[in-house]
Amino acid sequence: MRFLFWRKRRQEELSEEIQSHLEMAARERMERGEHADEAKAAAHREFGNAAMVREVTHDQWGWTWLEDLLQDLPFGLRMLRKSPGFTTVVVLTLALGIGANTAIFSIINAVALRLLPVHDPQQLVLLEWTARKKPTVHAFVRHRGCPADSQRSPSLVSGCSVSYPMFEQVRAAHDVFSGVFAFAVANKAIKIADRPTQRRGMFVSGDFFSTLGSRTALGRPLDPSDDAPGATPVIVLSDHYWRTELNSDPAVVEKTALINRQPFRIVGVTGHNFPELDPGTPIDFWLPLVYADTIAPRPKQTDGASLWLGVIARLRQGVTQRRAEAEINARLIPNATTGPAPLFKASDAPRLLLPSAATGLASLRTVFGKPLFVLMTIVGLILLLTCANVAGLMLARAFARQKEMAVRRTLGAGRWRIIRQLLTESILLSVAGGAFGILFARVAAKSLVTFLSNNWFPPLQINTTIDWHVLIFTMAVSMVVGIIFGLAPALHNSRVDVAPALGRGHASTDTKQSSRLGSVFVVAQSAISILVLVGAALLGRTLVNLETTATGFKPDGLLLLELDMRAGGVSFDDPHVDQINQELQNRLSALPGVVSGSYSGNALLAGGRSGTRVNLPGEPPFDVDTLAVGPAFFETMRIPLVAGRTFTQADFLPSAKPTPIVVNRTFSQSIFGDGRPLGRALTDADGQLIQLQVIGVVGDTKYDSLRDDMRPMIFMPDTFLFPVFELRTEGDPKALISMVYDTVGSVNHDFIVLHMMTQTEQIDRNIFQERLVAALSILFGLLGLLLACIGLYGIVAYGVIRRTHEIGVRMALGAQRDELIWLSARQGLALTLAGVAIGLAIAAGLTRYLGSLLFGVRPIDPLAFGAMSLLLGSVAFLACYVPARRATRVDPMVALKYE
Amino acid sequence: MKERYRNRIELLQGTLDLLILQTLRWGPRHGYGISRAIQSQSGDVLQVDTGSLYPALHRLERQKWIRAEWRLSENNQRVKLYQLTKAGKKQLASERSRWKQLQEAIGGILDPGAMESET
Repeated sequence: MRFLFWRKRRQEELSEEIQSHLEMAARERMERGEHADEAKAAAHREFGNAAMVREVTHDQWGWTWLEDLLQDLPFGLRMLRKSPGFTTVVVLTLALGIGANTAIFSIINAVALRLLPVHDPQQLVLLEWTARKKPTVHAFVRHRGCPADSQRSPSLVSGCSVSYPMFEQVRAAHDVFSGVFAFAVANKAIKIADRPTQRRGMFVSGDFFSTLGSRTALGRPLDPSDDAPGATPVIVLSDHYWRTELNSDPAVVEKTALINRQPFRIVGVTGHNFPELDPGTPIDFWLPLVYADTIAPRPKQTDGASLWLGVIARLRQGVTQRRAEAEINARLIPNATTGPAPLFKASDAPRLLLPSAATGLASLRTVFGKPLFVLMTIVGLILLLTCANVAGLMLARAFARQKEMAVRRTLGAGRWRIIRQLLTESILLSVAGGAFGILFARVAAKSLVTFLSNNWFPPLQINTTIDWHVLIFTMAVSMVVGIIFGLAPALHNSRVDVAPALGRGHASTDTKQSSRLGSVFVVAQSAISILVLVGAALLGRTLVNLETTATGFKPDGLLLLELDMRAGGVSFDDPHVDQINQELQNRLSALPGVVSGSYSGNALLAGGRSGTRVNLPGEPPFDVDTLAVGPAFFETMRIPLVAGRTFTQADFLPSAKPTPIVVNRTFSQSIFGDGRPLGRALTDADGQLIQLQVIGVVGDTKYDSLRDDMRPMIFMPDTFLFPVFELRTEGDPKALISMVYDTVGSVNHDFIVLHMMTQTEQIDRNIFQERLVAALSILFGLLGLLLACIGLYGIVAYGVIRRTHEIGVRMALGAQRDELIWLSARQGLALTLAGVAIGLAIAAGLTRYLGSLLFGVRPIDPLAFGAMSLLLGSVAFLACYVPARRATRVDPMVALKYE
Repeated sequence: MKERYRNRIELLQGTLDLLILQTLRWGPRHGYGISRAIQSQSGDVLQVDTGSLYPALHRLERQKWIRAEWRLSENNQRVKLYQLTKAGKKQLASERSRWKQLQEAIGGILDPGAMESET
C-alpha cells in the first residue's frame, strides 16, 4: 500500500517537473520576443511527447518487476489451467504438506506463542526463584506452567511459588512495578442455579484485574477493597462459564454463587477476550485471595514458610527487566536468608528471576512442548518430501515444455525472465496449496485438539483459530516451498539450448542427473513409507487387540458416574455413608432404562487400582489387588459367578464378621490350588486385625489396564466418600445423563458429579495414548504412501517423455502395447521394490523398539509386514501404470519426426 | 513508440550521464537548465532529447550520484533542482578518465600517424 502511495506521489512530482520545464522553455522564448501562444506551442514541440517521456522515466524507478509480475500472473494461471490434472495433484499434495505444518503450528501458536490479549503484554513478568538446594518450607504448592519445570539447569532447584510475605514485599516495590498480583489455584465446587460442579477457579489478589488492565463485560471486576478482611464475599465469573452453564443469563450479577457451600455475590462476568493466564486451561471463576484460608484447608496465608502463591507483575514504564530483577533480589533475598527460620541458606545462592509472562504461564507448553516439537519436525520432513516430489513432477513437465521455452528464448526472453515466469507458476501452485492447506489445517488442528482435550480433565480449550501468526507462517512456508520446488525445474529450463531443443527432443546430461536424483528419492521414499506403514500397521493391530481383548465384564451399555460427597456435608467418618450410597443405588437403579446399578471404589479400566497384602494361615504374605464394591456389583457388570454366592445386603452390615469376600478365578486357582476355595479364611498381613472369609468365586476381569494379565484379586463389601456408580442400561447410556443428575440432586443438592461417562468412553480414555499414536502413525503412513506415489508418478511420466523417440521406434518396429507399458513402468517398479526391500529390512531392525507399545502382536509380524508391502506395491503399481499408459499413445510418426 | 525512446536511451547512455554530471559540477540545476547548458556549451551541436534526459536524471538519482530537491525559482515557481553527491563527484572523475581513454583509443585508430608522432 505504501508502495502504491509512493508511486503516485512520484508521478505527480514528475508531471510537475515536466510542467516547469515547459514553462521555463516558453518563458525564455517569450523573453526573446516570441508571442506567448507560439512560444508555448514551440516549447511543447521541442519537448516531444510528454506522456512518453513520463513513461520511460517511470522505468527508471526500479519497480517494473511489479508490472512484469502482473503480466506473469495471468500467463501462469493460463498455463496451470491448461493441465488441470497436474495442477490438481500438485495443489492437493501441497495442501496436505503445508496444511499439516499449519495445523501443528497453530497448536504451538495457541499454547506457546500467542501474546496475552492485554495492553503491553511484554511488560508482564513472573516471579521465579532458583537456588542450589530446596527451600525449607512448611508447605509448597506447585504452579503449573512455571518455566522452572522445563528450562532451568538441572543443578538448580527452582519454582514459581512464593510466600505471602514475599508477595507483599514485591507489591511494595512501587518504583519498579506499576502493578503486582498474586494468584493461587481454587478448583472448587461451584453452584449457582441447580447442581454444583467441580470447576477451575483462581484466588487472586485485589490488583489482578487492574494489573492486567482487563475489564468485565458485565458488572465490575474485583478490586483491592474486595480483597480485604471483612469485605463482602464476591466472585467474578468467566464468559465461558456464563455462556455454557448459565445460558448467558443477563441478570446473573448480584445473584449468589456457592463455592464449597459458602455464598459469594456475583459482581461481574469477564468479556469474551479475557486473558487466559494459562492458555488452554481456562479459569471459570475468580475469588479474592483473602478467602483462600476460609475455603480451602490451606497453610495459613501469612506464613512465611509456605510457598503457595504465583506472582505476576507489570514493569513500570522505562524499567528494564534486568533492573527489576536486581531491585527485587536486593530487597527480598536478605529477608529470605536471615531470621530464626530462613527460607533459604545464603550459601545456596538463592536468586529471584523475572521471566517474561507475555504469553502467559503456558503449562501446556511444558506438557505438550516435546511432542509438539517432534510433530513439527515430522511434518517439516513431510513438507520437504512434498517439495522433492512436486519438483519431480515439475521436472517432468519442464521437460515437456522444453520446446515452448526454446521458442520463448528465441523470441528474446531473457534467462531471468524465464526463470521468473516458471517461479511465478510454482509460487501460484504453492500459494493455492497453502490456501487449501489452511482449510485442511483448521480441520486437522481442531480434531487433534478435540481429541486431546476430551481425554483431559477438566477439558482443555485450546484456541486454534487461524490468526495473523498462522497466516504469515503459512504464507511464508508456501512461498519458500514454491521457490524450493520451482527452482530446479526453472533453472533446468532456462538452460535449455535453443538449437537442439528446437531441432529434436534429446535428453541432455543434466536431465539424466536429475532423473538419477529422482530415483534416489523414490527409493528413499518407498523405504520410509513402508517403514512408517509397518509401524502404523503394528500399532493399529495393537489398538484392535486392545479394543477386542476380553475384559471379563460387559462394557457396552454401562454408564459411570463419579461422586464427591464432601460438598454435601458428608465427611470421612460419617456413619451414614453406606446408607447414602445404597439410597443412591436404589434411586438410580429405579430410573427407566436402567436394568441394575451398583457402585465401587474404583471404576474398572480407569487407570487406578488398589491393593493390599494378605496372609493365608501358615504361608508367607502375598500381594493382591482389591476392589471395594457395593451390592449387585457383579450382576451389574455382568461378571460371571463361578462358585459360591455374591454379596447380599447382610454382608454390608458392620456386624458381618469375618468380613465376607469374593475372589476371582485366578486368585482361587493360584492360591487355593486344591479347588476348595469357599469358606477359606484370610487375614491382613501383620496384625491379623481383619478376618476375611471367601464366600464366592467370580470370573477374572481386567482391573486398571487392558494390557495386564489377569491377577489375583479380592472384592470386599465397603463404603466410600468418592464412589463410582455403575448403571447397566438398555439402549444408549448417555440418554440417561440429565435424569442421573436430577436423581443425585434429589438425594443431596450439594453432591458433585465429578465425571459422568460410559464405560466404553472410560476405556477409550484409558488407551488414549495408544489411540493417538496409532491415529498419527496411520495418518503419516498414508501421507507418506501418497507422497511416494506422486514421486513415482513423476519419475515414470518423465521417463516416458524422455524416451518418446525410443518408444516411437519400437512402435514402428511392431512392439505390443503391454510391452511398451512394461518398458516404461519397469524402472519405477524396480525402484519401489528396492525401496520396499530396504524399508522392510530397516523395519525388522527397528520395530522391536516399539515393543512396550505393542499388545498381542509381535514386533516382526508377518501379517503387518506382508500386508503393507502389498498395499505399497499395488498403489505403486497404479502410480506407474497410469503414466506408463501414455507411452501407448505416442504417435510413431510424430515421435520419429523429432529426429 | 515506447521502444523507440528506450532505444535512444541505450544509445546515449554513459555519454549522457557524463554530460549531465559535468554540467552539475558548478552547482545545482533543474532539468531544463541542464538541457540548455549541454546545448549551449556544445555550441548547439548536442540537442538533448527530453525522452533521454529525464530517464537519465531519475536513473542517476536512484544510483545516488545526484540528489534532487524542490526549490522556488526566481519566478516563484516550484522547480526540481539536481545536484552532485559525493559519490557523483567520484563517478564524474572516473567517467572523465574513461572518456579520455576512449577518446585516445578511437583517436589512435582513426589517426594512427598522430599517435606515433607523439610517442
